[in-house]
Amino acid sequence: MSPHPWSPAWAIPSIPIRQWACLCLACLNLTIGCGRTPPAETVEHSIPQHWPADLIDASRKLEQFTAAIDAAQAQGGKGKGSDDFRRLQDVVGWAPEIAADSPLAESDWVPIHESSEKLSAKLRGMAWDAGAKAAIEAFRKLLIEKGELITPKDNPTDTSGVDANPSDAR
Amino acid sequence: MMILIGGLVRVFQGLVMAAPTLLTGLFIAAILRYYVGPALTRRLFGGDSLRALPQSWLIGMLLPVCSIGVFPILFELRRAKVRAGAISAFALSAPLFNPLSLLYGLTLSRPVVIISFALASLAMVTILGLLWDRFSPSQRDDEAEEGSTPTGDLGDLSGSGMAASNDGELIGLGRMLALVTFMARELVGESGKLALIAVGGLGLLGAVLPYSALQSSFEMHDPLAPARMTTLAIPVYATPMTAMSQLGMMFVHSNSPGAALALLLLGTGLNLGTLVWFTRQYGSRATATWFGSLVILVLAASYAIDRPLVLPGAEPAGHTHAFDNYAAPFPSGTRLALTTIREAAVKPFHLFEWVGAGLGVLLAVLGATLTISGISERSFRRSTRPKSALDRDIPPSVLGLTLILGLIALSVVGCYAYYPSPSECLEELTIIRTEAFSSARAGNVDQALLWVERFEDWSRKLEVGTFLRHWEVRPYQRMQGYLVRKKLELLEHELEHDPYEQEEVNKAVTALLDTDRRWRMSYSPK
Repeated sequence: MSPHPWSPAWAIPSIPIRQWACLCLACLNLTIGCGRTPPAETVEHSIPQHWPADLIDASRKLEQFTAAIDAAQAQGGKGKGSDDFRRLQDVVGWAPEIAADSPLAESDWVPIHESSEKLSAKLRGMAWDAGAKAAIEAFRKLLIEKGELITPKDNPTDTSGVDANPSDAR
Repeated sequence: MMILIGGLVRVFQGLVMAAPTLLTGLFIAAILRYYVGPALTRRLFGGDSLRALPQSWLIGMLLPVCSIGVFPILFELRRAKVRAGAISAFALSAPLFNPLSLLYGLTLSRPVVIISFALASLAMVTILGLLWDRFSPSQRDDEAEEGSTPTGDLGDLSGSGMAASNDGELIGLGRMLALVTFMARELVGESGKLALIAVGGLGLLGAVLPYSALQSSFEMHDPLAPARMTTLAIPVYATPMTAMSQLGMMFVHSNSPGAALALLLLGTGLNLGTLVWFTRQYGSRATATWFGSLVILVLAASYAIDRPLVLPGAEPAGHTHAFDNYAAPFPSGTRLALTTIREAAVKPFHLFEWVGAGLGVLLAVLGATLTISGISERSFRRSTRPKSALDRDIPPSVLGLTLILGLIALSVVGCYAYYPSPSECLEELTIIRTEAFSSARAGNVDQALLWVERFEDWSRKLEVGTFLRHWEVRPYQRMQGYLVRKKLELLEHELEHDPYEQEEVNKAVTALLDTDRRWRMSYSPK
C-alpha cells in the first residue's frame, strides 16, 4: 500500500510502530514506576484535618479562619491565597455535604447548598475585604441557624457508635 | 508466568468488553456497504462542505460503538472516499460517547463538566481534522485503493448503494445474507486483527504495571497527573461506559480533571489498533504527525481545564481503584490456581457483555467457516428476479438510512430499558441493600463485595433513570447519592482490609443506614 501523500516538512520522522510502543511503555514506567506498590487494602482514604464535625463546627472553623486571615493580613501577610484562605474555601464547599449527612430536611438543606455555591464563586472572584467578610458572616449565621435545628437526639451519628467526624473513620 | 497470565487475563477482558460494540460496528459497516453505498455515505459525512467535521462528530456521538467497534466503519468510510479530516473526527469522537454513556455522564459531578468534555472533544477533532485536511489535499481523489478495503472484495462501488454487477445483484434475502456474511468474515478478517492489537495494549499494561500501581497516580493538584494519564491512555482500550464509570470514580475521589479528560479523549477515543489502522492507510510519517498533534492538543486541553474544573471544597481521597484494570490483575505473591484466574477474568462482567461475547464467538465461528469454504458475499448475487406487480424495489439508500435511524432509535429505547424508572430501581435496590448489609454483617466478604458493587451500579441507574423521565435530578438527590456511594466505598475498604475487622465493617454499615434512608426518601413522591 502506498504511503499517504501528506508528508509536510515538519512531519515527525518515520518511527516503526514497535518503537513507538516501546517508547510509550518506557514513558509510562518512568512516570508511574515499575516497583512493587502497597496492596490496595492497606492504603487509607485521607481525610483533611480541617474537616468539620457538623454545621456548628463548620461555622466555628469559618470564624477561626477569618480571624487568622485578618491577623496575617494585619502583619503584612497574604489574605487571599494563604493556607487559611484555602481552608476557609474548603469549609464553604464542604458545608452542603455536611448538612446533607445530617437529619436536616431538604427544604433546610437547599439554602445552605445555594449559599455555598454563591459564596464559593464570590470568594474566587472578590478581594479579601469587608464585603467578603460580611458574606462569610451571613453564611456562618445560616449554618448556626440550620445546625441548631438538629438536636443531638436527631443526629443518630452521635449515638450509633460511628464518629461524627469522618476523619476518625478508617 | 504470573506476568504472562496477568496480560492474558486483561486481553480476555478486553475482548469480552469489546464484543457488543464490535458487533454493532460490524452491523453499521455492513449497512454502509450494502445499503447506503459510497456516494450517500460521503454525503452523510458532510462531503466536502465545512460542516463535514462537526457532522462526523455528531454521527459519532449518536452511534453506539467503541474504539474497536469503529474499525469496520473506518474501512467503509475510507472505501467511500470520505474526507480524511472527517474520518479522523469520526474515529476519535464515535468511541467517546454514546447515548447510554452520555446520560450516565450527565449524572456525574456537575453536568457542566461532561458538557465541557464533549465540547472539548468537538474542538479537538475539528482542529485535528482541519489540520489533517489542509495537509492532505489530494487524499480524497486517488488513494482509496482497492487494498484499503478490509476484505478487498465485493460490494457496491456504483455509488447508488444498489449492488449490481455483471455477476448479478444483491437484493432482498440475498443482500441480508451478504450482510451477515460480511460481518462474519470481517470479524475474523482485518477488523478482528485490529481488535486483537487493541486489546493487546491492555495485555501489555497488565503485564508491565504491578497490581494497583495506578491508585494514587492521578491526584488533584498533581502537575504531572494529566501528562501521566496521557501516556497511560495511549495503550488503553476502554468502552464508553467503562470510561464514564472511571470518570465517575475520579470525580468521587477528586482526581485531576485534566487526567480525566485525557483518559476520555485518548483512552476511550483510540487504542493501539487505531494507530495501526492510520499507519496502514496513511503511512507512518503522516500518522506520527497526526498522532503527535493529537497528543499536543490533548495535553493542552487537559492542562487548560485541570484547575478551573476542580469542584469547590473537593477533598482528595488519596487513592482510587478506578484504574486497577489497567494494571496486573493479581497482587505479587498470589498463588495462581485456576479458580483464582477464572474469578479475576470474569469478575467485571454482567449479562450484557456475556451475550455480546457469545454472539461474537458464534459469528467468528461462522466467519472462519465461510472463509475456509470460500463463501463470500458474492455468492448471494442473483442474476434474475421474478417480479410481480406488488414487488417494488425500494432504493437501498432508503433502507440503509432507515436501518441507521432505527439503530439510533433503538439505542434511545435501550436507554430507557437500561436505566429503569425510579420506582423499579428502588425496588431492585431493596433486594440489593438487604443482601449487601446482611452479608457484610455476617462476615461473608465476597458476597458483600459483589452486592456493594451492584448497589453502586444501581444507585447510578436510579439517577439516570430519574433524569431520563423527569429531566432533572435535584441537587439534594444528587448529594445524597454521592454520600451513599462514598460510604459504600468506605464499607468496601473495610471489607477488603487486612486484617479483617468485623466491628469496623459493622460500623461502616451503621454509618450507611441513615444516609441510605435519606437518599431513598428523597426519591419518594412528596
